Amino acid sequence: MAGRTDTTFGGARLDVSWSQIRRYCYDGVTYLVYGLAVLFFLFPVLWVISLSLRTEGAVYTSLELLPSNPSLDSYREVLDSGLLRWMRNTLFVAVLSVTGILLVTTPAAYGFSRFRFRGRRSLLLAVLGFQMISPIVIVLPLYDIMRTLGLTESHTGLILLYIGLQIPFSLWLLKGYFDTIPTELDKAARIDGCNRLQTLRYVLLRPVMPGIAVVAIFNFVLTWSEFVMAYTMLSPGGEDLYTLSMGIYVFDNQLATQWTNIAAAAVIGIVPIVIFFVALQRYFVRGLTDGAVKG
Amino acid sequence: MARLELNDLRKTFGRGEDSVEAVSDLSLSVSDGELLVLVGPSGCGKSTTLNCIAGLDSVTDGTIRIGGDPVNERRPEERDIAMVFQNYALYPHMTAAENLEFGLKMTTGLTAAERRERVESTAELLDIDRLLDQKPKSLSGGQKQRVALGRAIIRDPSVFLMDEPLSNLDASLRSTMRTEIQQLQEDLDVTTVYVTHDQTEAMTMADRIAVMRGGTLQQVGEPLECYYRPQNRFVAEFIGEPAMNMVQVTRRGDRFVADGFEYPVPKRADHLSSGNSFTLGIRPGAIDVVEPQTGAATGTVGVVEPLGETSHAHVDIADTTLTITTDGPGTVERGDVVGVDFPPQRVHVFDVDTGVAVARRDGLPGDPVESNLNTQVD
Amino acid sequence: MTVMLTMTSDAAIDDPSSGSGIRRTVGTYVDSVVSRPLFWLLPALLFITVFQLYPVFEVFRMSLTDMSLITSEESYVWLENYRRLLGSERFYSTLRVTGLYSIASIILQIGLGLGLALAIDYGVRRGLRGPLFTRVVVLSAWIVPGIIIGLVWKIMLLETNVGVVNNALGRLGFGIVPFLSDAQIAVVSVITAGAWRGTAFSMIMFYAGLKRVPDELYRAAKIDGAGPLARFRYVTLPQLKSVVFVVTILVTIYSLNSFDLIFALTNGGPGRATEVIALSMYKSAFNSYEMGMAAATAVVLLMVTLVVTAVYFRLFDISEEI
Ligand SMILES: Nc1ncnc2c1ncn2[C@@H]1O[C@H](COP(=O)(O)OP(=O)(O)O)[C@@H](O)[C@H]1O
Ligand SMILES: [Mg+2]
Repeated sequence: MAGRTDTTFGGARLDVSWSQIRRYCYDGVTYLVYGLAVLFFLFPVLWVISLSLRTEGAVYTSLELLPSNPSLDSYREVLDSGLLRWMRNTLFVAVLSVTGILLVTTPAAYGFSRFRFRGRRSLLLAVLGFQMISPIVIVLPLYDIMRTLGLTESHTGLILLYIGLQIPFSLWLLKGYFDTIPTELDKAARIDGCNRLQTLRYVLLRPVMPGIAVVAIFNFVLTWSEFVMAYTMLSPGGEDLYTLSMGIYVFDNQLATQWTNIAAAAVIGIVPIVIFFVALQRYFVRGLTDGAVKG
Repeated sequence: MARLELNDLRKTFGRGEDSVEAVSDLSLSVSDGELLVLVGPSGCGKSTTLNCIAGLDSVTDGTIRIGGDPVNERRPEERDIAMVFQNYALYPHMTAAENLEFGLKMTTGLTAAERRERVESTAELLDIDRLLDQKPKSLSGGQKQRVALGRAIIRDPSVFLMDEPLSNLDASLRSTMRTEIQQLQEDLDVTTVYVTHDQTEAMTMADRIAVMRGGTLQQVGEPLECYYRPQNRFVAEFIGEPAMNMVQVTRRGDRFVADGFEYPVPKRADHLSSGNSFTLGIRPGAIDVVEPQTGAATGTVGVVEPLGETSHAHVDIADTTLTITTDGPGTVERGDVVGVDFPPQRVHVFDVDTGVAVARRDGLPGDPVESNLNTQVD
Repeated sequence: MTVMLTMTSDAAIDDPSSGSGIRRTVGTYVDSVVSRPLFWLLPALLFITVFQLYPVFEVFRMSLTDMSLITSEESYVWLENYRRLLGSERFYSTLRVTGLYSIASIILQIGLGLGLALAIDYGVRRGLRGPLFTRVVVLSAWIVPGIIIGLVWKIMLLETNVGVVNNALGRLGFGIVPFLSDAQIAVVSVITAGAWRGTAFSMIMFYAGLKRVPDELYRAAKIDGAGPLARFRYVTLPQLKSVVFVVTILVTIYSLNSFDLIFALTNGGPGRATEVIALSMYKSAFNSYEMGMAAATAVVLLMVTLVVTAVYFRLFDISEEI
């Protein structure tokens, strides 16, 4: 009797330790994955930062990430030669584009979520369909249109263009958010005396805020980084109009082998937007995982 | 305070081929201060009716009057109504106080101080004054429903509309809230239309019940009227728990007979032709257990569900099963062979095809008219 | 907005009755305007029409003309551009490069993205340290402007001592690897840089999908005796099916249309070794000024995208998901 109990105990203990070993293995593999991922995704940025802090002569020699006598000269140089201005332009374009996108898509998302009308489904699918058309495919006619409208070489034109290009995705995402809010809220608001404008403003806007945040963050990052449209529309307009991406690209072509300066420019192109995103990525990821975006 | 009248109300969703008639020619009036419960299975058009009254849905046809005035063209806030929803529909970003206040802010010219006063007195009435600064997220289901009630009451409307207000609550809370709403409605004396799919709620709360099915009104009447004198088979089966037993029978002379079942035709059913088939309905609680071979039928007891004071026993008779409610535990046991019988005034007779009640009793139990009219043929 | 304002003022003029009467009428007008879906959708539809719908038609029309950036004259040459395109070596080379780049990108980005998402989800469920940091680092790579990614990788892969990779290889005793000047290695470099950028997108989509798999499903599978691999195969993957579909389509569209990163990293070189369709289109438009020809290339790119997407819809049976 006692012997049997012991064996069972032994067997059980063996089981536990096996599954524990297996678990440790999985944990180990997971940490390995984290380590490799961080190395692969972080190292290039760290390296460019390191380069940007060196003196022109120190770029060829050492592999240390922390240069021996760091200098901010390259930053001073590139900021003076236009980068600051381009950054301001980019900020201006991005902020106004995001504002415009929200002003246009929020009502439309509300409309698609709250009205049932003939052709609604087809219209929604058509909007989604435009998601499949990359902007690069229509860059030529867009250039033509903007030229005809006299909107090339202007930030206004670029902003309008960004709004137009970003509506489909933003609309879908926001509509998904509105759909998660029960229509009883609308009804309660109606009975409390709200018309639809007031319902949207006072009752629905706050609950869809997480969705609006996702759309805003996403579009800010996108318009901040955008290159093709800016390059195509603004290039002839002179350096004063450049956005950061295109400025840095042009810069790179001019500077040829001044690597510390190029690196400094790249760092300026990376760091502010990454800080912005890292600070807000919680809202972004939460917004995406909350289930409003259906797989 | 006002009387609410619906005249031939009709509501159709969609157009052409795939249109749905959610409410068909509904006529109904709710008198001042009355609590009318609109009851029916899910999808029968209860919410649609309520939304039409509220002005949330436009009506396809018919008129709605509140206090005698047609309100079809009025916007919801001009109809002097307030509404409570099943999922509370509290504004998630506002505190309880702001939720109560919002309607006043949008529709009245009251000052902030006046509104605050109204909020406080309403909160006191509902015992939610300590919750006023909390947001809906931190309130329990019952508390949320109180706030939702408060939002309706604070407007001091002439008609309350409630759409399954208790369906999201758990059972015990539901029955306390039921009593509370009833009490509140009585105190405030406001005309109320209360929608539910739960017949217990309907029976216990209503001044009158309106039973709907597939968009059509089946019967309107006081709860006991609907219970004892259902106008058709649908109402009979929908009201009452457990549901009424139904037995297919044929009249042969002065008997209703079926396989293993024989019952004398009650006097009030005497006009029914012999040789025709009918559906007999008998409530589980009306059935008595008697010695085998002495009652209307004899069968074997199957499953017995003890509920404490009473039990539900399922008795197999030929190819049907009757549910009967018996006293306490031990009256019958699984496998017992028992006879069943019931008083003639508790028998409902329905047309087999239309389900219409063809020999309704004349009064309710206790009515003077009851005692002499319902004697048996022999 | 403008529409609504004019309508309300009309109402005020039409109805010279008492103050509340005017307010009532104005209210009714506002009500009737805002209860039309068009009021809400109009601005968005207008923008879409001008900046998406019309350009799509226009690019087709342009592809049938000999439109040029230098002259304002244009005439219809019908299918001539397509004939020239299909007859040119360059076109097939860009098609090949695009195909290779896209297939490699899809496999890499989806594989790495799924792996990372699983590792992060596992870490979060187990309470390990590191998943948040890893997630943030990977996502940051996605945030970096494409043109700057090109630049960063160009600096990394320089074929001198400045290029950290070659520098390190040199210290290990290897010779200089021509990361950007060898036709075949350059393609690998471009694909790697592309994966550096794109993996984050599939990772975050998969992660969102994994978060939606209810814990009960895993517990139920465990009770049914499923090991970790079986759970992945029979619980996780089926639940991720629709996400996999969406991610595959989006990554495909994205890689087929890649432009900025390659533009900055190799500009299509050496020779035309890394010239993808989008790049060749852009060059014919803005370097050779042949808008008609470029438009034809764009149309081909669009067609390729649509055909591939259609094939996906065929391959995946997603009828139950949608
Ligand atoms: N907005 C709508 N569009 C189309 N059909 C609807 C709509 N609302 C309700 N219905 C239909 O009307 C019928 C009655 O619905 P409802 O009044 O919600 O039922 P209940 O509240 O009794 O459960 C149902 O068949 C439902 O499908
Ligand atoms: Mg309902």
